[in-house]
Amino acid sequence: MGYSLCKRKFLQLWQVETVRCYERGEGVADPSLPESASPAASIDARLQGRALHLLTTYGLDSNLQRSIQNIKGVVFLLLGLATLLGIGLAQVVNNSATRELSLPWVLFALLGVHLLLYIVWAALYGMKAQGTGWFAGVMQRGMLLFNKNAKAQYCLQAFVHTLRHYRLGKLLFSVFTHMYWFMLLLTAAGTLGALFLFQRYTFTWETTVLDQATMEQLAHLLGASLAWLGGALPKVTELQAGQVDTQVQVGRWLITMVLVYGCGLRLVSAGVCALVLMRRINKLEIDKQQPGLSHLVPLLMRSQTRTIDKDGALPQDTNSQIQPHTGKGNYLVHLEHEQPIPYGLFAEYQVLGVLASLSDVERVQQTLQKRPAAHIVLLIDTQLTPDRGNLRLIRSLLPLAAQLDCFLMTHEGHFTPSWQAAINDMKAVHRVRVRINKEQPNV
Amino acid sequence: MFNPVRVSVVGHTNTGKTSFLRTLLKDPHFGEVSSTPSTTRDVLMAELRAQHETIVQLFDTPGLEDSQALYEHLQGYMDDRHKHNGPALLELFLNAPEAKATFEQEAKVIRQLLNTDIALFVIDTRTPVLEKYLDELAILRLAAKPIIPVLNFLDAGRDLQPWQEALARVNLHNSVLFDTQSSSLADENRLLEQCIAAMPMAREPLLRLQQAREQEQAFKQSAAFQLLAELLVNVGAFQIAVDADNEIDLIEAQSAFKNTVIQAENQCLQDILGVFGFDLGDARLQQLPITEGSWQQHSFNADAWKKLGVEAGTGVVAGGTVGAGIDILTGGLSLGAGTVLGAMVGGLYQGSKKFSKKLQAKFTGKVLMQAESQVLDMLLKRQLLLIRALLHRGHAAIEPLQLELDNSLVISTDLRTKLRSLSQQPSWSQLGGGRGHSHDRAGFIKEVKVALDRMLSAK
Repeated sequence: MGYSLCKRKFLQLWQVETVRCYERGEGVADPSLPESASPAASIDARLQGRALHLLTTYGLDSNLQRSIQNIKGVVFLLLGLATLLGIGLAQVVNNSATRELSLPWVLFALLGVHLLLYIVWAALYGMKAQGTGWFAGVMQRGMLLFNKNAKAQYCLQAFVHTLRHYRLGKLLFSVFTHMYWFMLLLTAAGTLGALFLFQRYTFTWETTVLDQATMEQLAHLLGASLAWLGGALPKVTELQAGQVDTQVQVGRWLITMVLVYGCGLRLVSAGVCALVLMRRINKLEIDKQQPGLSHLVPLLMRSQTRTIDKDGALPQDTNSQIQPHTGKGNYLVHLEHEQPIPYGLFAEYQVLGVLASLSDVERVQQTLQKRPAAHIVLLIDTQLTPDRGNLRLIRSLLPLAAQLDCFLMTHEGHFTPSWQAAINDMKAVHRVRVRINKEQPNV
Repeated sequence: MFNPVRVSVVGHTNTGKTSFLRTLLKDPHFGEVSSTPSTTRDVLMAELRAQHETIVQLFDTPGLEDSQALYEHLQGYMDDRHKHNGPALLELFLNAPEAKATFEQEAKVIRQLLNTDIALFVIDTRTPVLEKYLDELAILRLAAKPIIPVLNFLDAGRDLQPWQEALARVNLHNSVLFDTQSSSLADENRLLEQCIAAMPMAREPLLRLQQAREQEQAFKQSAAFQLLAELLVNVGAFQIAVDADNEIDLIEAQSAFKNTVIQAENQCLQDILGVFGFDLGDARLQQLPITEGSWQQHSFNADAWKKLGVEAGTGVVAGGTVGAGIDILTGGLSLGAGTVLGAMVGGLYQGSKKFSKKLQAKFTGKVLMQAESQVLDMLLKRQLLLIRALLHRGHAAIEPLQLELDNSLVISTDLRTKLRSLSQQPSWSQLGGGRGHSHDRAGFIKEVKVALDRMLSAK
């Protein structure tokens, strides 16, 4: 359960990274963001959804699958090689025509190299991750031998980058190394076990390096080391007596030594590394600050817009007012609020005040109802927007004047173009003009 | 289960309601914005989320255009039964034929308002307080929903007193200042605080939203710094080997070098704009010295250097171009026997990696070309000024973004030293096909980000 979750999570990171690498290299071919994830999904899920969509669009999905198969193939081959090496190691140990084996040599061959490399691994694991670039580079190039096309390169580049960026490489490499040694030693132990079962061997306990006393002490220590499993190495003197039972006991002891201090150690180490790796992967989130991903976050965080209440307004006839052909007198009206009258322009005009409300309309109507004006100038503040309300006020002046001039107080107002457009609509039917004040309104 | 807070954005036409929502949603494409009245004719809805949770549903409504006529029309429904029951009176209006004809637009606003928890009344403070606006408020108050006035368009020196007094006269003392064109996180927080005050039941989720938005802002800043730091490392560590005796080769190499750097800078520019939610070709970027996604003056342009207070120095090499210099001090030409020996024999893996390019250059009789420190200064200052401008930029405006390219930013000695040390790390550059990923590089980028943050805060 935990393994499959962790595997899925790593695959997701890899997929996102593949698309990121591809887009950094080739540019974004499809900027659209598919809504494969629900709008309420996390950013990680949405990035993942986008990556899945684009893997297909960019034609990377088959390359990614092939890369996974290749990596599995390489692991399988290397583990197969470990099995062969295990058989080879057993043969090296068994390289004696007389079937007389030197116990110290056998121990060194089977466990010495493994323990030495185990210490090297432990030391490297504790060191800063400086040198991993070299290994990752070699790994990437090695993988490329299996798949040389450009898209596959992105997949492998993304695999290596994911391992390094999220600091998974060392752990994954550790799991692999331990499993490699486990296979090697297991095969060696199995081969030797089979040989010991069907053939008769004699073991000697002698070296040219150590004296008898040291040898005995060493044998005692080694023998005691497996006491907790009930297996003990016979005494050196018993061993040298060459009894069959003792030899069989030594054979069993030797296999147990390899299984416990070789396979066991590697298996436990692999398990621990795998657990740490899985815990780390499970805690991982996509690093959204990476170039190529960070700019997507605002896009993915945006909410979708929904229309709740659609526009259903019916067009209305707003130009039904009848304008008089003639009139008398010139009037000035302020629309909505009082504004400074441009100097010298409307000196002879009679000011009718502000036209802002329905009561203002009534007031102006009362003044001009009996005798419409020849000319009304309406001062309009272009900082205010035209709306249905003020356009209705303007239209209320049409039956009261033979000529209506809409004087836009400033040509730089926020809404000058909107006013021009709105009044032009009236011009088609009525005698309405637009004039724009080129001076400052308060001159 | 928590129901999202429904917030309607209401107000007169053209007061910037959609712009306000664009800023809140950080979405420059929400709705339609123009200076023509009645641009928004439908009621639109979008959501504000904290992680996976929808906290607020925002409704954009059409502008109220003829409030005076509507107010007078509503007076006709006023009888003993509805005198003190505003919502019932509005329901009565919504069922009347006028709600589907003359006041169709206003009816949409009222219908939505009756169905929300809070109303944000957006005011264009550039306009005087007119009777029609007060009529609008009177109509909105009939819905018996909390109203928060939002004072928009806050240019320097704008006198807000008339509006604040007018609002106080109708018992609205909770107005919020929020300029849609240059809003900050603090403005958003003030708005959320008012929403909490208006709807204390939603306090917890609204605080969660506040926190999420703070995180989002921090993410943007950090991501922008990351992009800039990556650019500086990629350019600072970028080196190419050239044959110094061959002038044509040298000029071609310089041109290739410059193009690579310019391309990297433009990519960074586009990414930074993307982080802040801007698209290329966005009308709001038209005032920026950017054309088709590139800075108008590239990073090797001496005039551009001058503007940003970067001194040209002596960096003029073959071809009369600046910025792509030869690594005279430590490069192939002067690499002494001791250094070679040290790198080959005594150097550890890391050391030899550092010198590998130089050794390669030495043995092939070439020299290394790299960016001069002024180029890094230029890249740093220009992008950082852009980040600063974008950090305080709303998503609303149809107004273009202004960017003053000046020498107001001072690069600290510490950061300058750090950037100069990049020439010793050629393997860190991702330009020119390098992998450019290591523990040390990531650590260096982290340090540069901290320095950039300090540089921006110092201003």
